[in-house]
Amino acid sequence: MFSRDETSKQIAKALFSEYGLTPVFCDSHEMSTSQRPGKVIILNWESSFKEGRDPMMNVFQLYRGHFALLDKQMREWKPEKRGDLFQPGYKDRFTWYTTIFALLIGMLGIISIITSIISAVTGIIQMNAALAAIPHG
Amino acid sequence: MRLEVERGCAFRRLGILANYNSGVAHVDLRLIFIRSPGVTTPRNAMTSVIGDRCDIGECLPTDETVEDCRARLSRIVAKQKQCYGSPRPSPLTLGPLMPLWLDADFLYRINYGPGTREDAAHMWDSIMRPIVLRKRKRVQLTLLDRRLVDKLFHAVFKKGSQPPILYSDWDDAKESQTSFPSDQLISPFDYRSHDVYTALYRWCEEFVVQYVWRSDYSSQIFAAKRPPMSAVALDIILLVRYLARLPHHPERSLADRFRKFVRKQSLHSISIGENFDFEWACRGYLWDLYNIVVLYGLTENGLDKYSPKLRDVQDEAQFVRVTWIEHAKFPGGDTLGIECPVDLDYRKEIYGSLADMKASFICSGPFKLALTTRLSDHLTMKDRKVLLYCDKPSKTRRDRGHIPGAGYYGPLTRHILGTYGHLISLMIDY
Repeated sequence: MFSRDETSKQIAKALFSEYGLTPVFCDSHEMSTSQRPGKVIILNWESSFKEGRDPMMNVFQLYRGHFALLDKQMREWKPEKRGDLFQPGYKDRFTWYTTIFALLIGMLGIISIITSIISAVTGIIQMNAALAAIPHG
Repeated sequence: MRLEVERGCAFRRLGILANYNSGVAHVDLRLIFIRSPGVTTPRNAMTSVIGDRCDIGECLPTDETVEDCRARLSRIVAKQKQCYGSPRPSPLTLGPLMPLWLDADFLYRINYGPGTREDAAHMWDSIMRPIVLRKRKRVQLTLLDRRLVDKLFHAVFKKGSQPPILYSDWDDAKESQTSFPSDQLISPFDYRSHDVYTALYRWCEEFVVQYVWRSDYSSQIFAAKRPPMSAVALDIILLVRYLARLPHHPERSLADRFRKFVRKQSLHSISIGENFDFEWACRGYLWDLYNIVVLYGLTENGLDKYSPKLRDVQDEAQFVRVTWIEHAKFPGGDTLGIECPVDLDYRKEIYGSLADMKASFICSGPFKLALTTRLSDHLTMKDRKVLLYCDKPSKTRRDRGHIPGAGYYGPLTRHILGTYGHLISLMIDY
């Protein structure tokens, strides 16, 4: 969970700092030499899965049910609050990005309509002012 | 004053159970069990400490004569007093003191009986009340006979496990090479309070003093006289040996296991008469013993107020609690609070990739990660946080780095039930 990319490692650092621990990422054969006070030992992903293969649920005998449920909860998450509308879910993020892009385009369109109306109104006002300034003769 | 039942634990998943049909495996709602660890000992709750004490029955030593046992305890107490120095408390003395009341005869009475309710009350007042009410540190003095401690240790942990210093006798000539006091122990019969293995027999001792000798603890199960410490310790040994002998398959409910255990074994602490309430014994007393066996902790499920016969089930939390052992399967993770959120029969059919189960991906969405010190919460969701178990690092363990889960899993890897995979044989891999 934590050893597969740099961002995850940074998350681990922030998370374990709550307990005053600093994560150390090591292979299984390095565990004994990596143990230091105040360090939390996290095994590198590659040491558990050959050639960096994707982990499978069936590897986890006791926790595969938990992973399945978590995976399902992640996939099926839907916005519940207004703030959630701007939160990308885990499934089909292309749709979320498309929606956000469409929203941006829509907002730009609304802004352009508003500015058009404003420019039209100011144009009319300027025209009326110009007409009023012409001496009647 | 109300007793605090761990409602959060019992109900934490109710919100996510509705209409659950997994995409990877069929999930039957009726088969999702909610871990309820029972009622844990509320160290600061007055409700758990009120109660009269009972007289203590008798359970004679099994492998030595009464005279030999008394003589051995005399040698132990003499050595303890020698190590602790003057038994008289002095206001100038900052170190621990030898309790004035502790003598060989008293030690024999609480271990093997018969004893009076005053003995039981005295134990409560001297040992447990300061801990429960004033949150004082537990005295290091051992009260359970160290010969029983030795038996208990070797019954629960695998051969080859190095026991904490376990002297069950003292021979000045033979033991003269050993120097006490040490930096950790004052006498050779003290607890090493930071050692995880001591929890087993310390809880056994405290369980008897705090609960078994109370008049409102399983009063329908016990006779007027309550079992001494040795009887409870011997029954814990019987229970763990019985569980270790069970085949790995099929998994059966804990209640079923307990019922068979009570019927098959001749227990030292309870006598089974005609109207013996097997159900209540399983749900209360035996469940409490079991929680000690699996190093879960002190629980008070056997108090009369939780008896289904004496009081109707009032709410859902209580129902979940009192029926938990009917659902929890043994062997299996259920019994340690690692209950599977899907039916065990379907669990084997769950396949799929965990490529996305990495911290960066989880935190990029609405869910976040958080640590928990409760094993039963590992890899569960709470308030949009995925909880990961990590025991807090021990302040006294300075010689090595912290392996997440080692605090809990460490002793379990040497647990006798672990040999069958009854408990667990894995580390928390992040």
